[in-house]
Amino acid sequence: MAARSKKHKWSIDFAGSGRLRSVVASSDIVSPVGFMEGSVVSDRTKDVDPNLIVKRSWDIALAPVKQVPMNMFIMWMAGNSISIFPIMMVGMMFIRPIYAILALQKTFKDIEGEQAPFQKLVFILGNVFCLAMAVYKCHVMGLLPTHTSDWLAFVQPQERMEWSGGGVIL
Amino acid sequence: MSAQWKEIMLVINFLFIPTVWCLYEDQMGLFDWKQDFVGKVEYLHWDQSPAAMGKRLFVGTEKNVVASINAYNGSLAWRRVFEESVRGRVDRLLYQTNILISVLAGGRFVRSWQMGTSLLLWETSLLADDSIRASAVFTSREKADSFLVVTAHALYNIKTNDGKKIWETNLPKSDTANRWFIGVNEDDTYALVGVTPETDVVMATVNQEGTVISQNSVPAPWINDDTSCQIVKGSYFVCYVPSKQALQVLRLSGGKNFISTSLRDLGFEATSETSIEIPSTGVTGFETEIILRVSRNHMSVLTIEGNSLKIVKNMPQVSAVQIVENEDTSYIITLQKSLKEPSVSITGYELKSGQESAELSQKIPFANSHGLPLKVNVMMFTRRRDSKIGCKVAILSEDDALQVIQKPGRVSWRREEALADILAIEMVDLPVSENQAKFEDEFGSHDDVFVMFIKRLKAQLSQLQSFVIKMVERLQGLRHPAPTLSDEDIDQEEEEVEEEEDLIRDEFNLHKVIVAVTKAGKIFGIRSQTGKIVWQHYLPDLSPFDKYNRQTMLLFVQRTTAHFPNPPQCAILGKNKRTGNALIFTINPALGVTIAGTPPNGLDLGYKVVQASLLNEVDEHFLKGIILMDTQGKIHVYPESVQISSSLPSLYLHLTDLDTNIITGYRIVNTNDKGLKADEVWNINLQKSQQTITQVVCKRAIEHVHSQGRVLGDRSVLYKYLNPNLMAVVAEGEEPPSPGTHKGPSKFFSIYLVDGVTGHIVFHVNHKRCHGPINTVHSENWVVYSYFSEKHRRHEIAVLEMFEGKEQSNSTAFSSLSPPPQPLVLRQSYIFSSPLSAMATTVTEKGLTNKNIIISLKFGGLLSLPKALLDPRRPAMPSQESMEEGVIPYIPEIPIHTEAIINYNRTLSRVDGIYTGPAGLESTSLILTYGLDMFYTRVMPSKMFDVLKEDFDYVLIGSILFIMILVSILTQKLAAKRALSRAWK
Repeated sequence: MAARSKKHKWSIDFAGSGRLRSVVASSDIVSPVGFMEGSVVSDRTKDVDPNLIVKRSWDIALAPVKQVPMNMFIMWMAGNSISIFPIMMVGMMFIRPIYAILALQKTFKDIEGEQAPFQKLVFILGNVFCLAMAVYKCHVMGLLPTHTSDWLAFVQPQERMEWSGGGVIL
Repeated sequence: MSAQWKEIMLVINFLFIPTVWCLYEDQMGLFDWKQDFVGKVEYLHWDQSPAAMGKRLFVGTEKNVVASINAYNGSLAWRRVFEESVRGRVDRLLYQTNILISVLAGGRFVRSWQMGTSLLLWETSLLADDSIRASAVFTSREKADSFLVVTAHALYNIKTNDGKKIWETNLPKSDTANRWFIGVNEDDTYALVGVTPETDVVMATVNQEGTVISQNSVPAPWINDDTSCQIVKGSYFVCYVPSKQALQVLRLSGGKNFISTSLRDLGFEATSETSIEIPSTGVTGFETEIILRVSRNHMSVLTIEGNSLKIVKNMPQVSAVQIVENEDTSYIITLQKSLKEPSVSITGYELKSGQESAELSQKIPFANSHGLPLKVNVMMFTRRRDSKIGCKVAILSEDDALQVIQKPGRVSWRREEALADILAIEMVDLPVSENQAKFEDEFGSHDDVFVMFIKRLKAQLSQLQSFVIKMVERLQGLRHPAPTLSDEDIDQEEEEVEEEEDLIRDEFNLHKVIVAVTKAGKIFGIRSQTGKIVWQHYLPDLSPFDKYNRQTMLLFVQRTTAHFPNPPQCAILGKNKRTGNALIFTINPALGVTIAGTPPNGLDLGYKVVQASLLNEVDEHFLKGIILMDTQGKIHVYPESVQISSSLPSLYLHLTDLDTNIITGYRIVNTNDKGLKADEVWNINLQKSQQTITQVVCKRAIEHVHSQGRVLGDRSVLYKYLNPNLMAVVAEGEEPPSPGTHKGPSKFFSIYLVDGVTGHIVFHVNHKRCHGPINTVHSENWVVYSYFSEKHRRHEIAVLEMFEGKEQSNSTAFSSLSPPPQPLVLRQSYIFSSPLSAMATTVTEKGLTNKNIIISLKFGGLLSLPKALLDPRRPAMPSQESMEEGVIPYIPEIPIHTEAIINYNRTLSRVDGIYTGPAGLESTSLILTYGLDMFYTRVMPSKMFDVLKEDFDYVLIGSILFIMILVSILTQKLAAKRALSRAWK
């Protein structure tokens, strides 16, 4: 493994000009002076640090939570009026956690270590919290049908129990 | 920021509201039509001036109109509409060669008109009492330079060319005499007869200088205001007395008493119609014969010789007679309606010899729907070519129609003047097309599979057939009528063909049949699209109910077109002229055919009806019944097949007695032995001593309310108080002057909102120092009414809106017996800068669209006003919440935008009422105003939200769509190619 060379053992030059198309074995060439086999920096990272895995997993798990302050700022900036930009922002706030939740399986593959279940939970909760914020924003903007007035159009007219007619004597 | 945004939106909204109503110039007359009427013709003259001989007709009508009608096509050349009150009444219309003079309001206004242009030449005012009709005659038969007018106070001789009074004379007994008759004697003195009802007649002879030569009074206790009388030969006074069934003759020079001649002695049988006929030109004062109407179709011409009556010509079967003079020969023109076929024969006799004149006699088609011809006005002339006599005939028939014959044998045109007096109106859907009907039939029935399959095949076959026929027609191009027909025939035929094709429902159900019931007893079916009459029926016995001087007829839509294969059905309820009982007539409004089982002249119910109401209950054929209450309090159901027992405990009826001001509520109960009966449940006494009920306004049954509440700014709901049994009662009165303050009597009016089931007064409001006429609109949860404020001397419109509150006590049903708590009533009044004559609110199919209030203004405009402007919640200081809600800030005045006048430049005179009906499109409401003019249009109160605009660019949108699809396919292909090439790299 350590002997893997950065240099090619051999190469075929198709593009080479002339008729001299030949396979040249690179090992045949003598290395220049001062050239050392192998790279200077050794791949020491291969000795895996278990703490690092946990740390990385935490990074992934806490990503949605880290978005929260940013989202709050955007929410504050967008205001409560209904126009194209606030709507787009609210849409973005909805779409991101939903995508994240949809891509849950893929994300969970990256989370390893003994704390994985907890981290997964944190990740899900973070996204749910982001969604909740988006919903709250909708509520503040008045886009949620939470009032009776929002269901008024579906209220059936009152049934008439008595019938009366008449008027001035003919 | 958000508030600003909304403000901007509000402003934009405002900017757009008016522009939606107006039309483009090329849309004039596209969605609307207008018809002008003159009303029932009382005086009729042919233009005899040398310049326009026989080219015009001059008419004076019962609707206070003087008009000139083009004799070739029946269009109005000009029309002068006078005041609606007694001050505009046309007492006499005098015409001679080139003088046209109208005498109005008992002689208060005497006006001379320029005949071609209707310019006022001169006007003079006489001392008069407008409750007494004036009489007027020219002083000579031809080319008179003056005319006589007798008013309640004096006799005037007025010059025709400038209106100057030549002399005036006070007449004897002018304080008691109610009517005056004038005749011109052979020795050029004027004979005047004044009638004091139930006492006597006074005779006076006035010479040409205006001095009373002789006067005499003769007792006549039988005479009254309705007695028909006439002066003959200037020396006899003839009256017909119905109580004695006799003609009374009085010699004016020295006659001491009336000589009675019984009708029996003359060989006639008296009827209720017997009277002395006044010719359509009015009394000229030179009459030498009496035209006696013995019955509806029996006329007789009488004359007086040596104090006794002599029959000149007796004409049974004749219903209209005129005596006309041409070149020193007098002719009797008679009109006789054929009993077998729809035609009238016109016959001319020489008066002296009694010989029939072949040149004058002709036969014309005359539809049964015109009834009998009642009056005829003939213009005779001698042709220069062959010195034969010819005539032009104008006929007035029982149904108030005016028809003119220019060429012998054919009616050139007719004007249906009955339409100037519409009493009830409805719009009915047109039937679906034949193919559509087959589909309905297919899916509506519950047959077995095999039958349904055959029906399916048949329906598709007929579709194919009609498609092939249509294609063949298209290939053949335009149809050419046979060349043998004359131009007019073709016109008529084309018209007929067109109508036959078109009498089916259109895509959006915008075209309807307007059913109009008129005062004359004629019922019309009118196409809403063009205003053409589709069918007409004349019922000779039908007359309006006329208690308390309110003329009413009822029109019920018993079944709509929706229940195929059952035909639609309308019922017309009126009073039988002869018996006084209720008369009911049922008709299929789409085709105009009477429903099987109805007599052609209507069914006399055999009892008098005090009130009637349409039931909601249907029988097995989807026919709604009518309940009728008779004078005994018994309840009848029409037709009897409708069973109402299931809905009985919840049926109520209320009656308003204007004599006593008592409103009484009844419950309909079934007594086993006596049948249905009305049981008195409640009554309200509104104190006749203080006020008089003038209106009782209920909600319209066809109205749907889609939204049950109003959304407020904080997004809560204010629920509407939607009591379907609520009625608005308007009572007007006058407060006596109080002794302390030196004020005169002040008028006031009250509005009571009464529940029709329990009699509970939901709300009451009183307006002091205000008076009517009050126009009221009652719809949904609001009442809008207009009145005149004496305090501020201006017209005002007030609105009452009722709300249940933020909670609905019962969201599923409304029962007046367990009512919701007392509603919250919000009210506001606004200044309206123009007097108005009628108001109505728009109605749409589902009640989803905003409401507009259609107001007919006295100056002739028809205003479409959004209800949002008449909102009691308009805030004086707009707040954040009110802006959120979209309530318009308060302004005391209601603006009248010229863009909101939906009849643009077509002035509407004297609008009696406005009918609004729903169209198939939710956005559209159909409007018909009636009165002296009829105007039809449609309005879209919330703009046209359910149809693409007319100028929608189909080509552009279509081509863009096509290009987009093409581009997307292309790019897909290109992208695939590129991906492949990249994969090869």
